[in-house]
Amino acid sequence: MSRRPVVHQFIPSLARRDAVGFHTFAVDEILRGLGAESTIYTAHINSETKDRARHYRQHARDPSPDLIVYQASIGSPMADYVMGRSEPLMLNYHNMTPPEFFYGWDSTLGAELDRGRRQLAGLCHRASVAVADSEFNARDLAELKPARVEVIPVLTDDALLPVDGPPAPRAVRDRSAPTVLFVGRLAPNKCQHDLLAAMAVLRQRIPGAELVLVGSSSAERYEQSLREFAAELGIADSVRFEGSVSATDLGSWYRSADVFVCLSEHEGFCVPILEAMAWGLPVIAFDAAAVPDTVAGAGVVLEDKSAGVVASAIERVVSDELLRQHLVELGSARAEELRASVVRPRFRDFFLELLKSGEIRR
Amino acid sequence: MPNDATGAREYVKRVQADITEEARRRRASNPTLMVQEQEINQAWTRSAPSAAAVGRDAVSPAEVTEHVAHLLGCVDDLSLIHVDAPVGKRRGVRQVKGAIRLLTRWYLRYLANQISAFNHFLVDFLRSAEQRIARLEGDARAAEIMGEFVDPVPEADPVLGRAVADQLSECEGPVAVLSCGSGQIVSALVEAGVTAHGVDDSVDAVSDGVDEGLDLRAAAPLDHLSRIADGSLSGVVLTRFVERRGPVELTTLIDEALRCVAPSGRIVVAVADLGARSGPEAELLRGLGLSPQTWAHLLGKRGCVVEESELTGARVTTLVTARPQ
Repeated sequence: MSRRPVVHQFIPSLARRDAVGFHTFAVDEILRGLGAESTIYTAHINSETKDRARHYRQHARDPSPDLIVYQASIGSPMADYVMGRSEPLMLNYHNMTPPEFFYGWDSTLGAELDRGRRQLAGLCHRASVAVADSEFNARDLAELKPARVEVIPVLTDDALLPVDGPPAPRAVRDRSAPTVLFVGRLAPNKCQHDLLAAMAVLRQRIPGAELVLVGSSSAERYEQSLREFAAELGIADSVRFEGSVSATDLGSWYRSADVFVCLSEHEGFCVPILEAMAWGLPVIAFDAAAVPDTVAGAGVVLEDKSAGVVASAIERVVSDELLRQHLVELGSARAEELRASVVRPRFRDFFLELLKSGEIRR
Repeated sequence: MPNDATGAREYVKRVQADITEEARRRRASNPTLMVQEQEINQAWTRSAPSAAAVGRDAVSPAEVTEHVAHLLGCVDDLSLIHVDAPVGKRRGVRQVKGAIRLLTRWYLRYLANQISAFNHFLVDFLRSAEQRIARLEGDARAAEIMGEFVDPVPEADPVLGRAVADQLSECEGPVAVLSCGSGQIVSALVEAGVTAHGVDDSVDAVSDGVDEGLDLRAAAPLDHLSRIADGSLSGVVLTRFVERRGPVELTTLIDEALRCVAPSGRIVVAVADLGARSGPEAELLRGLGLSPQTWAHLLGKRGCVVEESELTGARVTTLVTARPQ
């Protein structure tokens, strides 16, 4: 009787509410379901994760695994450790924001991302297989010439989606006061400043329009500049910085908003777009990085995000009932395609094949 | 349904084109819109740090071309031989000159990339040097390394929360609770009618408290204090993390807390019994944390009136309360 395969996952920072953190827990469950002995290692242990993960410095003392899975999204000393190991390596790539987005705002984070990008080349060289969660990420990896790349979407947290399936399309509650929503960390690559610019123009056409920004700050200086910018544009009273919110509050925002607008210039996947679609919210997004792959024609994708164009797009989505209905229906179908319950079997099959194949040591 | 979906997609595509066209029409019919967009962009440039603005400009391919052309012009001005010096009338010679110019342009771009890579390396190097210096500081190293092998300091219990609230119930201004965890002490203060916020470097702990409506912020406690204006707090509560810091960092912390507290304010330190540490914790955390007597000594030396009060039924055994004089 052959022994159970042993798989060790490494993730630089593990948190259940973070998209990559949730994905790591989900992969852990899949591996256990396949009969593997699965352990998660991370560089930061906290009270939430201490029962589910071990510090990576303990790894050297643990029995050698048959396969290492590295969840890559930022630079970490852990990547150097993993590259120094001799076991077969699978790279799960969630993209790394190009450092230039952060250099002016947070040079430490910029350097960390820069380091991560350089480590990525080494990881690609070492990995026998890589999984990218979008076609965009796969193209990003292809430049580094890994042995093999598969595209499987990230495993999302279905608990953040409506329980009873997508809500029916609804009209805007008050066309004179629509709520525009964006969910994501306050970060220069997510370009919340472009949303503020669009709001300044939109407020001249629809004075009651309101912008809600949900998400914690990843660069304090950027958040400060956003607040100053809103004040200078005279729209500070119509912009809500909600910070990090609970799952329940997040659901309430998706339910109560009228349109979801994402003007990010760099996203490796953008889970909130899917969440918005699942909650029956029409999506407007800027055509950049992995965003068009995620939207997949189920939202209004803009090639120009100057303030006037974005304001016009919001105005149109708010006022055109047929457009709203189409966007909600297409969005709901797209969200269904990428639900964890649909993606999970793909990961399961992938690992099943990997664990059976000669790519890992047994 | 597939046909419906195809129809819907086509409709969305048409709308996308309409939106762009409508924006173009608006700009044409209303020139002030374009001016407004420019003004908005300028306002953002003023709010953003200059390096960020340069960074964003640098990634635009059109502007990169423009910058390289400008750079090439500057190089031409500095050159000893004018770029338009006659080189002969033969067509081939002129083509070679054009190729050299293209190569020069490529070389300038290459140099710019090298400078960019060097700057990235420099930032990375300085960051790692900063980390190494921090590690050379003995107490920082002890806290960082030894803390990994022992359990985190437990959250405050209700007894401690009530005792701290009793000490600070008369505070009229804001109170900061450092290392607040998920906010038990902040909650007790708020219940006592005190305006209080908490700071902790564990985002997870903070999110739990925030979910319950408390004003908790994720930040390093000392960094948080360093950003607070002189005399703007009426109270500072030092808990948990002070058990894992050495004397050098704690004296800096006391100075910062005294700077932030108004003359009528108070500093409350929750001190656990260091003698109760046992086993690996006793050895690994040796030299970290201070006894109530040492806290009282340090605060007294800085001119505070200090009181010590004993707690029963809590892990924290003593509250040291200091009033600046």
